[in-house]
Amino acid sequence: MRCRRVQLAGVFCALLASAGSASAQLEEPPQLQLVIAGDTVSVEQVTRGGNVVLFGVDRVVEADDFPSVFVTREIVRDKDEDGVVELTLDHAVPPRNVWIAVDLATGAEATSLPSETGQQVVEWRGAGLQRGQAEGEGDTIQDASAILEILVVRPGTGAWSDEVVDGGNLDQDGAPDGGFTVPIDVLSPVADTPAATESFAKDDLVYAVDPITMTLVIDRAP
Amino acid sequence: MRRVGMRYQEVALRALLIALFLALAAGPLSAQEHLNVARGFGRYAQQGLGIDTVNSFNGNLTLAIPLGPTYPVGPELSFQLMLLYNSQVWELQNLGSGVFAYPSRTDNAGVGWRVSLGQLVAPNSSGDVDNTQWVYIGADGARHHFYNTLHAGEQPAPNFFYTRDGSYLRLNATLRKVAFPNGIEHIFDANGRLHRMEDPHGHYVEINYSTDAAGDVTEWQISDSHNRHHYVRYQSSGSSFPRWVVKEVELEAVATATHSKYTFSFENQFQVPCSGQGTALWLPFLTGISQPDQTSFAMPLSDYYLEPPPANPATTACRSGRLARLTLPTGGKLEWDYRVYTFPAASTSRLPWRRSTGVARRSLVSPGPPPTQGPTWLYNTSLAYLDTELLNTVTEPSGTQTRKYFGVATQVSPPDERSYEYGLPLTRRVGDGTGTR
Repeated sequence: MRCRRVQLAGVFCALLASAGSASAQLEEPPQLQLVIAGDTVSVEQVTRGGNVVLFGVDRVVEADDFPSVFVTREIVRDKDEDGVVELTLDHAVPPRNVWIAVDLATGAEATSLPSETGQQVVEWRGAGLQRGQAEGEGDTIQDASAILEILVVRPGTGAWSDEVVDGGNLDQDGAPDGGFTVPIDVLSPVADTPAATESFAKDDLVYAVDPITMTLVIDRAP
Repeated sequence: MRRVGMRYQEVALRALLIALFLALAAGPLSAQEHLNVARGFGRYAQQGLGIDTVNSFNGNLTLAIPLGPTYPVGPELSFQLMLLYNSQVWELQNLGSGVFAYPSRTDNAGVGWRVSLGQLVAPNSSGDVDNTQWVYIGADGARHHFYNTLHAGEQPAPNFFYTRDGSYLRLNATLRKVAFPNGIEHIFDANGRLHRMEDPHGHYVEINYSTDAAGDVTEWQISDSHNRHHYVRYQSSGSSFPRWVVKEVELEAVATATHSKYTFSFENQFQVPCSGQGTALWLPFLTGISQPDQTSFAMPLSDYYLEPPPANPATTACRSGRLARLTLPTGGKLEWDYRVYTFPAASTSRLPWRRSTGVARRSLVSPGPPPTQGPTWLYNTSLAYLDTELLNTVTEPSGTQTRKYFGVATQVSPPDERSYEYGLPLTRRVGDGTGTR
């Protein structure tokens, strides 16, 4: 059913493109549609010819109940300018998943967080986004989790993402102490995004997924 | 010394009765997670010693500490809260190219410890359990998977599921109701928490829960058809594993209006899990249980193995985070040391599951002064007969040795009945006396 909707949307968009109609694009940007089917993640209603950040955390439970977590960080371009981007994975998206899509041109976002799996959007377990207090001090993300998959998206620029572990090499104090502080400029650029800046820009979109509980934090830089 | 021994025997007897109660309440207890690392008593492999039980197959240590008396509710229905310990304390998951390890997510009273009356988990529905089938987690932590028929090849009935591990549980998935062989039914809420136990005669025990904003349980309120009320209260753990731990258990006394309290104490500690990537986690450890009669069980941090994982876990047991010692209310102690239990490489594709950290030594220590090492039990395992059998030789304090064999054949070609004997307590190498078999 979902696949079919993607196909119909694609045909519809192709017809619009062939008619040369640009009027639809002048209106409010339509809401992104995130469609997951099998091993394919599609995003509809994206800016034609634009780029979409795709961030996914999949918890695959195998036949022996052993869990494997796959993290996807990609920027996908709408090469055929049909308003639909598609990403094929090397695994089927499992029932417990978190997927985020952000249109880099408009900042429009879409989220997949299946409610039937008991997954939730939660608050930071710490101070969350923190502005540098002193001159030359960069902005940070602070949380009391042991591990989080973090994504920062700056519409118009790109995205940065990493796995942050309490006491890991991105944790500012490098020590396991019940939480982490990660300067945002150490996060890795996604695809060809330039290196991260020291400070958040207003309305940067920030997401964090706990790869164990599969809960999601959604935040926006003030 | 003799008096201490007597008290210990009393505790042992209580624990044995509790184990029997659990067996009656929940059916035969067996695990259906991978047997190499399964928690719980173990259906075929347990060696009950008193308050503690050793699974002779994988060496898992289980402790059962009663929290209050058994409350009879009906002819077949009764309940008792228990504090259970499993030495299989770590869970694993693949993450990227490595393995991330953390404490068992179903433990709610510190690393390895759990207070529970059972849990029902729908497929892919829980942040605490990874499962693609319905799973019942018994009070002892053992997991029982449900199938759509009792036996393969039977006609399935919609919404009914059955265990196939000898526990003979039947699940009505629509009502989230699990029926036990003795006629008792357990009904679970949408979050898999036990909501009600009832018998066919109208007797019941009901459990309601308070939660925080994130949905984590902060209190149980237990009531029964005799209008008794009990409470299990939590406190923030200061850790992610888990976020809340049991703080106290308040029980209504039998035939009086007074309540009795069991109070738990904790200390947090950084500990590196076994089989992970070396990431230290900030974890709550249970350090004591204060009982209503002012006596206590004690297991301060120094009574846990807080060493880092060994460089070569294939040859040296990873004891990280496991219980080393428990001081009984009498002042006597139980001590355990661990060894590597090795399983055939073909038993699982998961490298860390090809071995288990299991009990190597169990000792009793008298309180003294000075404390004196008492009787000791030794466990020595090996693979035998081309890795088709696991042998655990148990040496008792008297010097008596018991050899316990388990089938572990994994690659039988052509397949025969040995393919289904993994973990069963048997050997094909001992004749039946007739000389023919």
